[in-house]
Amino acid sequence: MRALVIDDSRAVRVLVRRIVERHGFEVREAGDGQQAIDVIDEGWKPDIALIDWNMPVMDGLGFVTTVRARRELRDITLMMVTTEGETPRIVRALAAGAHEYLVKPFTEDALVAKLELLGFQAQPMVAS
Amino acid sequence: MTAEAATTADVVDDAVLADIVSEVFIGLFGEGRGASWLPGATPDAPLLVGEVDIAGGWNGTVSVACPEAMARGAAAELFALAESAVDDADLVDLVGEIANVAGGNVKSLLPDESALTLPRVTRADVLTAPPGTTAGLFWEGHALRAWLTPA
Repeated sequence: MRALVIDDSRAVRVLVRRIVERHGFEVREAGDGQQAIDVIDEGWKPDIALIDWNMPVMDGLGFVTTVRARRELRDITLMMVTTEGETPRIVRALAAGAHEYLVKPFTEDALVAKLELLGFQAQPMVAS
Repeated sequence: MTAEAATTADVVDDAVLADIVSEVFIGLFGEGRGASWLPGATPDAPLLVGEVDIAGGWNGTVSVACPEAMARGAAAELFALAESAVDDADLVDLVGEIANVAGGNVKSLLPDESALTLPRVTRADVLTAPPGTTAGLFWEGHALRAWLTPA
Protein backbone atom coordinates (compact mmCIF):
# COMPACT_ATOMS: atom_id res chain seq x y z
CA MET A 1 0.00 0.00 0.00
CA ARG A 2 1.24 3.47 -0.87
CA ALA A 3 0.23 6.76 0.76
CA LEU A 4 1.09 10.24 -0.45
CA VAL A 5 0.99 12.79 2.37
CA ILE A 6 0.39 16.32 1.07
CA ASP A 7 0.73 19.20 3.51
CA ASP A 8 2.79 22.38 3.56
CA SER A 9 3.58 21.79 7.23
CA ARG A 10 6.46 19.42 7.85
CA ALA A 11 5.09 18.85 11.35
CA VAL A 12 1.86 17.47 9.94
CA ARG A 13 3.65 15.41 7.32
CA VAL A 14 5.81 13.82 10.01
CA LEU A 15 2.79 13.15 12.20
CA VAL A 16 0.70 11.61 9.42
CA ARG A 17 3.65 9.67 8.02
CA ARG A 18 4.24 8.00 11.41
CA ILE A 19 0.63 6.90 11.67
CA VAL A 20 0.23 5.58 8.14
CA GLU A 21 3.62 3.83 8.21
CA ARG A 22 2.52 2.03 11.37
CA HIS A 23 -0.58 1.03 9.42
CA GLY A 24 1.63 -0.61 6.80
CA PHE A 25 1.87 2.05 4.10
CA GLU A 26 4.92 3.00 2.09
CA VAL A 27 4.90 6.80 2.28
CA ARG A 28 6.05 9.76 0.24
CA GLU A 29 5.52 13.41 1.09
CA ALA A 30 4.71 16.54 -0.89
CA GLY A 31 4.61 20.14 0.31
CA ASP A 32 1.76 21.24 -1.98
CA GLY A 33 -0.59 19.91 -4.63
CA GLN A 34 1.76 20.54 -7.54
CA GLN A 35 4.61 18.69 -5.83
CA ALA A 36 2.19 15.82 -5.31
CA ILE A 37 1.26 15.79 -8.99
CA ASP A 38 4.99 15.77 -9.81
CA VAL A 39 5.53 12.75 -7.55
CA ILE A 40 2.72 10.90 -9.31
CA ASP A 41 3.95 11.89 -12.75
CA GLU A 42 7.39 10.53 -11.86
CA GLY A 43 5.68 7.14 -11.64
CA TRP A 44 4.95 6.86 -7.92
CA LYS A 45 1.19 6.38 -7.93
CA PRO A 46 -0.31 6.14 -4.44
CA ASP A 47 -3.28 4.07 -3.32
CA ILE A 48 -4.36 6.97 -1.13
CA ALA A 49 -3.51 10.65 -0.91
CA LEU A 50 -3.98 12.49 2.40
CA ILE A 51 -4.46 16.11 1.47
CA ASP A 52 -4.31 19.40 3.31
CA TRP A 53 -6.57 22.15 1.95
CA ASN A 54 -4.66 25.41 2.43
CA MET A 55 -1.29 25.19 0.73
CA PRO A 56 0.74 27.48 -1.53
CA VAL A 57 1.13 26.87 -5.29
CA MET A 58 -1.70 24.32 -5.64
CA ASP A 59 -4.14 23.84 -2.79
CA GLY A 60 -5.85 20.63 -1.80
CA LEU A 61 -9.02 21.29 -3.75
CA GLY A 62 -6.94 21.99 -6.85
CA PHE A 63 -5.14 18.69 -6.36
CA VAL A 64 -8.42 16.78 -5.99
CA THR A 65 -9.83 18.43 -9.10
CA THR A 66 -6.67 17.70 -11.09
CA VAL A 67 -6.53 14.05 -10.06
CA ARG A 68 -10.22 13.49 -10.74
CA ALA A 69 -9.82 14.98 -14.24
CA ARG A 70 -7.24 12.36 -15.18
CA ARG A 71 -8.76 8.99 -16.02
CA GLU A 72 -5.59 7.04 -15.17
CA LEU A 73 -5.62 8.45 -11.63
CA ARG A 74 -9.26 7.88 -10.80
CA ASP A 75 -8.54 4.84 -8.65
CA ILE A 76 -6.53 6.89 -6.15
CA THR A 77 -8.46 7.28 -2.90
CA LEU A 78 -8.51 10.91 -1.79
CA MET A 79 -8.86 11.96 1.83
CA MET A 80 -8.80 15.57 2.94
CA VAL A 81 -6.93 16.14 6.22
CA THR A 82 -7.47 19.80 6.94
CA THR A 83 -8.37 22.46 9.42
CA GLU A 84 -11.21 23.56 7.11
CA GLY A 85 -14.11 22.14 9.09
CA GLU A 86 -17.18 24.04 7.89
CA THR A 87 -19.91 22.03 6.21
CA PRO A 88 -19.83 23.98 2.91
CA ARG A 89 -16.11 23.25 2.57
CA ILE A 90 -16.60 19.57 3.29
CA VAL A 91 -19.41 19.40 0.74
CA ARG A 92 -17.25 21.20 -1.83
CA ALA A 93 -14.36 18.75 -1.37
CA LEU A 94 -16.62 15.71 -1.56
CA ALA A 95 -18.35 17.10 -4.63
CA ALA A 96 -14.96 17.60 -6.28
CA GLY A 97 -14.16 13.94 -5.74
CA ALA A 98 -12.68 13.48 -2.28
CA HIS A 99 -13.76 10.22 -0.64
CA GLU A 100 -13.27 11.12 3.00
CA TYR A 101 -12.67 14.12 5.21
CA LEU A 102 -10.78 14.44 8.49
CA VAL A 103 -10.64 17.74 10.36
CA LYS A 104 -7.50 18.81 12.23
CA PRO A 105 -6.68 18.37 15.00
CA PHE A 106 -7.17 14.63 14.85
CA THR A 107 -6.06 11.65 16.88
CA GLU A 108 -4.27 8.58 15.58
CA ASP A 109 -7.38 6.52 16.29
CA ALA A 110 -9.49 8.83 14.16
CA LEU A 111 -7.12 8.66 11.19
CA VAL A 112 -6.81 4.88 11.44
CA ALA A 113 -10.60 4.54 11.62
CA LYS A 114 -10.94 6.58 8.42
CA LEU A 115 -8.30 4.44 6.67
CA GLU A 116 -10.11 1.26 7.65
CA LEU A 117 -13.43 2.74 6.61
CA LEU A 118 -11.89 3.27 3.19
CA GLY A 119 -10.80 -0.37 3.06
CA PHE A 120 -7.15 0.03 4.04
CA GLN A 121 -6.69 -2.55 6.75
CA ALA A 122 -3.46 -2.58 8.74
CA GLN A 123 -0.71 -4.56 7.06
CA PRO A 124 2.20 -6.23 8.84
CA MET A 125 5.46 -4.33 8.44
CA VAL A 126 7.80 -6.01 5.95
CA ALA A 127 11.52 -5.56 6.48
CA SER A 128 13.17 -4.22 3.35
CA MET B 1 -27.33 35.48 12.53
CA THR B 2 -26.03 37.87 9.89
CA ALA B 3 -22.42 38.48 9.06
CA GLU B 4 -22.78 41.99 10.44
CA ALA B 5 -23.93 40.69 13.79
CA ALA B 6 -21.36 37.94 14.06
CA THR B 7 -18.46 38.48 16.40
CA THR B 8 -16.12 35.89 17.77
CA ALA B 9 -17.36 36.84 21.25
CA ASP B 10 -20.68 35.26 20.25
CA VAL B 11 -19.11 31.86 19.85
CA VAL B 12 -15.49 31.89 21.05
CA ASP B 13 -14.87 33.00 24.61
CA ASP B 14 -11.66 32.54 26.58
CA ALA B 15 -12.55 29.00 27.64
CA VAL B 16 -13.44 27.90 24.13
CA LEU B 17 -10.21 29.36 22.77
CA ALA B 18 -8.21 27.56 25.48
CA ASP B 19 -9.97 24.30 24.61
CA ILE B 20 -9.20 24.75 20.92
CA VAL B 21 -5.49 25.30 21.59
CA SER B 22 -5.37 22.37 23.99
CA GLU B 23 -6.87 20.11 21.33
CA VAL B 24 -4.21 21.26 18.88
CA PHE B 25 -1.53 20.00 21.25
CA ILE B 26 -3.37 16.69 21.70
CA GLY B 27 -3.48 16.31 17.94
CA LEU B 28 0.24 16.93 17.62
CA PHE B 29 1.53 15.11 20.68
CA GLY B 30 -1.14 12.60 21.64
CA GLU B 31 -3.83 11.96 24.22
CA GLY B 32 -2.99 13.36 27.64
CA ARG B 33 -0.66 15.99 26.17
CA GLY B 34 -3.12 18.85 25.94
CA ALA B 35 -2.35 22.31 27.30
CA SER B 36 -3.99 23.34 30.57
CA TRP B 37 -6.06 26.52 30.72
CA LEU B 38 -4.32 28.92 33.09
CA PRO B 39 -5.92 32.38 32.79
CA GLY B 40 -3.31 35.08 33.15
CA ALA B 41 -0.41 32.86 32.16
CA THR B 42 2.18 34.92 30.34
CA PRO B 43 4.86 33.25 28.24
CA ASP B 44 8.52 34.04 28.74
CA ALA B 45 10.47 35.85 26.03
CA PRO B 46 11.91 35.34 23.53
CA LEU B 47 8.60 34.52 21.90
CA LEU B 48 7.49 33.00 18.65
CA VAL B 49 4.10 34.28 17.54
CA GLY B 50 2.10 32.32 14.99
CA GLU B 51 -0.81 34.12 13.31
CA VAL B 52 -3.51 33.47 10.76
CA ASP B 53 -6.09 35.92 9.45
CA ILE B 54 -9.77 35.14 9.06
CA ALA B 55 -11.90 37.02 6.53
CA GLY B 56 -15.63 36.63 6.01
CA GLY B 57 -18.16 36.15 8.78
CA TRP B 58 -15.65 37.74 11.11
CA ASN B 59 -12.53 39.62 10.17
CA GLY B 60 -9.51 39.40 12.39
CA THR B 61 -6.43 37.49 13.46
CA VAL B 62 -5.91 34.42 15.60
CA SER B 63 -2.54 34.49 17.36
CA VAL B 64 -0.65 31.98 19.45
CA ALA B 65 2.52 33.05 21.29
CA CYS B 66 4.87 30.59 22.93
CA PRO B 67 8.38 30.77 24.31
CA GLU B 68 11.06 29.82 21.83
CA ALA B 69 12.35 27.33 24.39
CA MET B 70 8.98 25.58 24.41
CA ALA B 71 8.77 25.53 20.63
CA ARG B 72 12.29 24.14 20.42
CA GLY B 73 11.51 21.29 22.80
CA ALA B 74 8.25 20.52 21.05
CA ALA B 75 9.86 20.56 17.60
CA ALA B 76 12.67 18.32 18.82
CA GLU B 77 10.12 15.78 20.03
CA LEU B 78 7.94 15.95 16.94
CA PHE B 79 10.80 15.79 14.45
CA ALA B 80 12.81 13.31 16.59
CA LEU B 81 15.80 15.63 16.73
CA ALA B 82 18.15 16.82 19.44
CA GLU B 83 17.13 20.33 20.54
CA SER B 84 20.46 21.60 19.24
CA ALA B 85 19.55 20.28 15.79
CA VAL B 86 16.22 22.14 15.58
CA ASP B 87 16.55 25.04 13.17
CA ASP B 88 14.47 28.14 12.49
CA ALA B 89 12.51 26.42 9.72
CA ASP B 90 11.44 23.71 12.17
CA LEU B 91 10.32 26.32 14.71
CA VAL B 92 8.41 28.35 12.13
CA ASP B 93 6.76 25.22 10.75
CA LEU B 94 5.55 24.00 14.12
CA VAL B 95 4.37 27.33 15.53
CA GLY B 96 2.74 28.17 12.21
CA GLU B 97 0.85 24.90 12.21
CA ILE B 98 -0.35 25.43 15.79
CA ALA B 99 -1.72 28.83 14.76
CA ASN B 100 -3.16 27.38 11.55
CA VAL B 101 -5.13 24.64 13.27
CA ALA B 102 -6.25 26.95 16.08
CA GLY B 103 -7.37 29.52 13.51
CA GLY B 104 -9.17 26.95 11.45
CA ASN B 105 -11.07 25.72 14.46
CA VAL B 106 -12.04 29.26 15.45
CA LYS B 107 -13.20 29.81 11.87
CA SER B 108 -15.30 26.66 11.89
CA LEU B 109 -17.29 28.00 14.85
CA LEU B 110 -18.24 31.23 13.08
CA PRO B 111 -21.78 31.43 11.74
CA ASP B 112 -20.81 32.35 8.20
CA GLU B 113 -18.24 30.78 5.90
CA SER B 114 -14.89 32.53 6.08
CA ALA B 115 -11.45 32.25 4.53
CA LEU B 116 -8.20 31.53 6.32
CA THR B 117 -4.77 32.79 5.29
CA LEU B 118 -1.62 30.71 5.40
CA PRO B 119 0.15 31.13 8.75
CA ARG B 120 2.98 33.55 9.43
CA VAL B 121 5.42 33.43 12.33
CA THR B 122 7.36 36.28 13.89
CA ARG B 123 9.70 36.69 16.83
CA ALA B 124 8.86 39.05 19.67
CA ASP B 125 10.32 40.05 23.01
CA VAL B 126 7.11 41.54 24.35
CA LEU B 127 3.61 40.09 24.35
CA THR B 128 1.21 42.49 22.66
CA ALA B 129 -2.13 40.72 23.08
CA PRO B 130 -4.94 43.30 23.01
CA PRO B 131 -7.94 43.25 25.36
CA GLY B 132 -10.62 40.80 24.33
CA THR B 133 -10.76 37.06 23.90
CA THR B 134 -7.53 35.63 25.22
CA ALA B 135 -6.44 32.37 26.78
CA GLY B 136 -3.39 31.72 28.90
CA LEU B 137 -2.30 28.11 28.88
CA PHE B 138 0.41 25.91 30.36
CA TRP B 139 2.17 23.08 28.52
CA GLU B 140 5.18 21.03 29.54
CA GLY B 141 6.43 23.60 32.03
CA HIS B 142 5.86 26.63 29.81
CA ALA B 143 3.17 29.31 29.66
CA LEU B 144 1.72 30.22 26.28
CA ARG B 145 -1.06 32.52 25.17
CA ALA B 146 -3.63 32.64 22.40
CA TRP B 147 -5.79 35.60 21.49
CA LEU B 148 -8.13 37.05 18.88
CA THR B 149 -7.69 40.50 17.36
CA PRO B 150 -10.58 41.99 15.38
CA ALA B 151 -9.51 43.67 12.14
